[in-house]
Amino acid sequence: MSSINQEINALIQADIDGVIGDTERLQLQQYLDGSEEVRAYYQDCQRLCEGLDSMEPLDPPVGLAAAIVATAAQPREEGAEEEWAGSWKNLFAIWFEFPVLRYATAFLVGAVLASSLSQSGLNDRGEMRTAGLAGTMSPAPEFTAIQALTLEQPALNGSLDLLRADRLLQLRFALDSTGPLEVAVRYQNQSYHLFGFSQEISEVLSLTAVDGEIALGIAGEQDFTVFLYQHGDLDAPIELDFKRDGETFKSLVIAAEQQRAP
Amino acid sequence: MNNNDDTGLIQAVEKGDHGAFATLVRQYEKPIYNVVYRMLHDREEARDVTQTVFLKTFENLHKYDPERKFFSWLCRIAINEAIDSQGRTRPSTEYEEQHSPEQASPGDDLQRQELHDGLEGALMTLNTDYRSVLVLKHIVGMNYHDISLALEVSEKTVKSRLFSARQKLAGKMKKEAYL
Repeated sequence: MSSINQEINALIQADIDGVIGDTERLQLQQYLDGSEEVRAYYQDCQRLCEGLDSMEPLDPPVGLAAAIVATAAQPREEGAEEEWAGSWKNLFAIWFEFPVLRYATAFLVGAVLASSLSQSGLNDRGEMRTAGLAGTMSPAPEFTAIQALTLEQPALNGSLDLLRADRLLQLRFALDSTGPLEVAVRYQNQSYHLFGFSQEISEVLSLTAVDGEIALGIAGEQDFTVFLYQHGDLDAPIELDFKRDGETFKSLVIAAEQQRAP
Repeated sequence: MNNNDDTGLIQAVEKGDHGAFATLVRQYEKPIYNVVYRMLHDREEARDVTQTVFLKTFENLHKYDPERKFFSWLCRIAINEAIDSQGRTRPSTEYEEQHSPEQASPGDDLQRQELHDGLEGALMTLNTDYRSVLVLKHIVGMNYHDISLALEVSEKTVKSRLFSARQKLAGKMKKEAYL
């Protein structure tokens, strides 16, 4: 018959959890000294708990935090859109409510149209040759190519070009991967912010940005550009990690001197 | 990070500071992912559930009681979400199908790895009450008091569950000749 009773069990648990008192410790020692079975049982419990304590924590998947923060930000943006739409509805209701506002608007539109027709000469030529966009656009900044890097990895081939126009940086990626990969662009928080993104071929599977990191999920052939706006410190480096299944297989650091024109 | 720091961040999040929320996520992403993973033993599912945990936390921050430890509250949400997720997906008996022991290394490491593999399998056969108390005690390293806050049970119940959970786990490990 087993000599392990509830009391011995409770003493062993308390000892293992580090909450045993002096009197209880003496009691436990007496049980341990007096029985081979209790000693063996104690060792098993200890081994079990040490095994549990030593299970290595896993690293969360890359980009998880970024995805959470980006998703959390979404509903508020949608709310803001609703608010914006609501305010336009209110303005329209006010405009519709007052005839004087409706007449004034009609007069204004007519005046603007008449003026533009007379300036363009459209009324004389009787034809319309219009191209381009309404509104104004500032001239595109001139970018200077600064750095060109080649990537030759079993899982990934391609190039990365760095271009600069004052404080605006372009990271132009032309990549061809054998499977899904993640590209992490990291920098000291507040040194840069994501200014824009464009893509030429295919689709980037995911793009998330949080403080200090932009994570892009890619697969296959991908041509895309990440625009960064640089704040304050012009010497802030940019780190790039290329990951597969959460493991980094290639890291690059674009140091300050590499960000300046030769 | 202590609870006062968390309270400051939570107040900032409630005022619309997404940077503060990002700090909270980064701070607790790893322990929460591990809690969920040890409850489910499925990385993909753990990823989705961890995301849900933080989004629910974000939506319900106004319900958080600053007198309680934020991490305990977060663990409570994580355990509940993991249990819900397991109920929605598959019974834990399917564990063996996806269990793939990591590559073994020589000597003591091999024994330790075998023990860990055995523990992972045995953990998944326990009911969620026992599994959650073991995860919070041994994986997260919480004390009885914090576990009682996270599981919303008394400290006495925590001790009693730990005791029974270890006994059951030891029984299964012995049966499989890991102990």
